[in-house]
Amino acid sequence: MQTPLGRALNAGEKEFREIADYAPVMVWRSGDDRLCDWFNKPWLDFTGRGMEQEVGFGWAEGVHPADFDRCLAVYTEAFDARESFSMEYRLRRHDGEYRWLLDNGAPYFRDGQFAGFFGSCIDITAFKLAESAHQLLVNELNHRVKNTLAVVQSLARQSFRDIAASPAGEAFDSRLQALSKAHDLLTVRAWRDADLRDVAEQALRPLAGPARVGLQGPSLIIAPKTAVSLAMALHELGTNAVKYGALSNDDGRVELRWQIDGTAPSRRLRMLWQESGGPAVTPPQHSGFGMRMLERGLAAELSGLVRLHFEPKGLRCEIDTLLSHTAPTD
Amino acid sequence: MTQAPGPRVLIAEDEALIGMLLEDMLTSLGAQPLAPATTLAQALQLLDGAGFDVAILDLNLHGEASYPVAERLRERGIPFAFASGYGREALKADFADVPLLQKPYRLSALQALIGQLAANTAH
Repeated sequence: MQTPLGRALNAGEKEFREIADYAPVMVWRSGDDRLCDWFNKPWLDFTGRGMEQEVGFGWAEGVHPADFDRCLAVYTEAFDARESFSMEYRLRRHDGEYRWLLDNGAPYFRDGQFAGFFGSCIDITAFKLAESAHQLLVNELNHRVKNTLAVVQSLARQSFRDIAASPAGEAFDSRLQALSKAHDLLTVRAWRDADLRDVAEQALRPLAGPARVGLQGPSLIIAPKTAVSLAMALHELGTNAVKYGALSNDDGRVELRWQIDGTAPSRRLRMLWQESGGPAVTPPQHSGFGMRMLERGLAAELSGLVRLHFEPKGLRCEIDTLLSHTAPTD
Repeated sequence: MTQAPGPRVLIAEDEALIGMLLEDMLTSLGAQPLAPATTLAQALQLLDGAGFDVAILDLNLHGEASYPVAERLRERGIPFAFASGYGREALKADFADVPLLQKPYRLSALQALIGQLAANTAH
């Protein structure tokens, strides 16, 4: 009597095809000439066509016209490179409805020789619909948030008419806008997280290009709350530099560097904001809102340390935080 | 310095408080805002009343897109901008070249926009 392992090793092509026919996935196979030479039962049940119609490139007749070129290009490129691929496309079901499939293909070999490709597909239409409904919801939420911020702006303007057109009024508007833009960034990734580099780019690039503001550091995925706090902090540092610091003259410069030190679970994010070439710095008499937001608000938010040094050659700000506090959370 | 009166601005904005904000900001910039239209129908009606040089249209008026107004403005060669809490990617492709005013507003951005629109009015 054969052991299960022996039986498995001896199982012929016929038995594998039986298994394939009962698996809840659609399976196809192509030969070394790119032409498909076999489809399992779930595939044929899905398309409602016979094996003789699907073989060769017959299967491609069911691919949605909008996906056709891309689908064939991915398949052909992967085939010629003998590399596995993963792609999404729409395929016509037997009832005429196009459904989204996720198709994973990989080359297979016989006696060391390339023999063709195997692929398996699952119907991801429900997932796609849920995903787009989710994105729609997030976009709608972002729209509502921004409208609400504009309402707050209006209320502030009506309530404090005498300062609305003053520098304080403009500073208030620009803070609201920084908050709003941080929300944009989070919307892109459906409020899951954001990349620190994108946060820095978005907060500082409108102020100055790479010639005046250098950004240097690795990509780092951070949680939404952290992203908003950092965006607001960088906005304060940036506008301060424009008004009084290194960006207030023609040749000053800001360097923002960040690095990750140590290993999990005690990885730390260290950021350094260094201004140079601006007017000589004198420590302020009292700390304004921007400074308090940095030293107290941001420090609390990051459970870290934020230090401002008013050095004569330029303002320096050090941010040091445990990275576990900045990791994405659900 | 005496200034020529600023452009007359048609506003379409469904949120009353935001409309007031825009009116206020425009007034402080020397422009002459009309009382905001809060629905698509109202905005279309204002078009026929003439009496404005440029327009700022909220993209979404109580769930209706303001494109019909935009199309009429374009036909008549009147410069306009959209205002929105949505990003630029929300704009219909035929209007991709229209300036977009981001909410919440900044006085400096609004000033630049009004200058740009006024410069494009027919002389």
